Amino acid sequence: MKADRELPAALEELLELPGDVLPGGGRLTLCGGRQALIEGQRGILEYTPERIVVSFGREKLSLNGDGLRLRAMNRGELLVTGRIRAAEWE
Amino acid sequence: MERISDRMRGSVELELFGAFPAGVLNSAVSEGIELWDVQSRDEHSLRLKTFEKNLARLERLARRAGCEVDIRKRVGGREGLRRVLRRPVLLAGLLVTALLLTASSLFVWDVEVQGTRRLSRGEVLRALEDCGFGVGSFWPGVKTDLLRSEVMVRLPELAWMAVNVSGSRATVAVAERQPKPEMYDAADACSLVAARDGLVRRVNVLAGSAQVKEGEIVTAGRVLIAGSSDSINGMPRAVRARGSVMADTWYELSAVCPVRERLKTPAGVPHSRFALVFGKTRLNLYIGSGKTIDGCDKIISEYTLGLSGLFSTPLRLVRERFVPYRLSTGDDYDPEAAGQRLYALLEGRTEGQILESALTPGRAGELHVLTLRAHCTENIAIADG
Repeated sequence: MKADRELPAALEELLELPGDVLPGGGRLTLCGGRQALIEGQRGILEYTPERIVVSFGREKLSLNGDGLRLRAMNRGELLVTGRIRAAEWE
Repeated sequence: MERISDRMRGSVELELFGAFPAGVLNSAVSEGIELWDVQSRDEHSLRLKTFEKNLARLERLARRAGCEVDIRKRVGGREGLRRVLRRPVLLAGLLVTALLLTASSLFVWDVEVQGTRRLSRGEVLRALEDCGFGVGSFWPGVKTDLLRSEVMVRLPELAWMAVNVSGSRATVAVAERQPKPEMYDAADACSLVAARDGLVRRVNVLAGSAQVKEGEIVTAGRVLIAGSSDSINGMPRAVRARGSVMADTWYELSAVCPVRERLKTPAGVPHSRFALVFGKTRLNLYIGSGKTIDGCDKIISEYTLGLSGLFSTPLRLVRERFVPYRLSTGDDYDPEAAGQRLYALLEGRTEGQILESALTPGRAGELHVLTLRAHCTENIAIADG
């Protein structure tokens, strides 16, 4: 089912759509390294003050830093505060 | 800071212990449970906050994930209500306050008058008070139609009036009548004469006969348009002269200010005293109210308890601030302010247009003298007598 999984990406490319229009993707908004808003998350895989790993289905986002804290959390969004040193998509 | 609405709903702070407490977070948010202030204590424990109503569901999810829940703190909600109920004095105070605020909202504590031009705000307020409406009136009992009729009888200058009461604040909107134009008898003959000296530029006659020509210099009191007109039988006919005579006029105004005058300079530490006003009753929060305080400027400020524009309460705090001063002699002459006052005086004297003007400073002995010379154009024709 590789073709199915890559369909959104192919459509985005073909129709020249912005990356956040089609479902399935996540979005990360960083504010000065002190706050991160994560949208479209599917669950937390790891949570320590130094590292938070969030799942987006096929992809994972790792936030590394110090004193990381989940300020607020609901079905699709996460607000992370603390000293964010790196964000990594896997 | 937690919002008041969150406190009303009630929130709990709890700690989760288990093999993978983050899994409980995922299950909770997938069920629509809002979480905040999630802190990781270590690999196997988390501290978080949620609404009180979600506690039972969260405990069930935690049990399912093999985690334990320890409730650390409850804020607001049912627990808050229980705490208030355990304090009867506080509860009674809250109830009395709520009752007083409700009762207070049925009375007028502030009256605002809008739309006055020739009438003063005080005249309208006095007429309203004479008709039984003012600060302290029970507004549901006020018949606005009757009040309007009574006030309009007392103030014939009013053409229309409306009273709107909102949250103890009454807004009285008025519209004044247009003044009647000056009436005169057409058979009452009179001439138009010069109000002041000038150089005639244009003569416009509507009734009567012109006695001056353009370019002529006239002095104050000279007849410009005579109150007589030719008739078909050759005899002059007496009329009331009407028309305008535009002329160039010149003004010279002077302002004089002593070089050395008595000045107030702040000295010492200002002090304040307070009073509470409930409706029309004043309660001084100081002793010795009859004592006059010399050598001080007194500045009075009033603060009304309430929300501006929304509602008012009968309670006002009055602050009287006394600023001591010392009298000294010095030069406080401000030529710019004196010039502005001279221009204001000139605009009050002429209804015409100022073509050119100049200010000339000078000094005469112990006096500053500022002279304004202005060249204007205006209608100088006025009715004789």
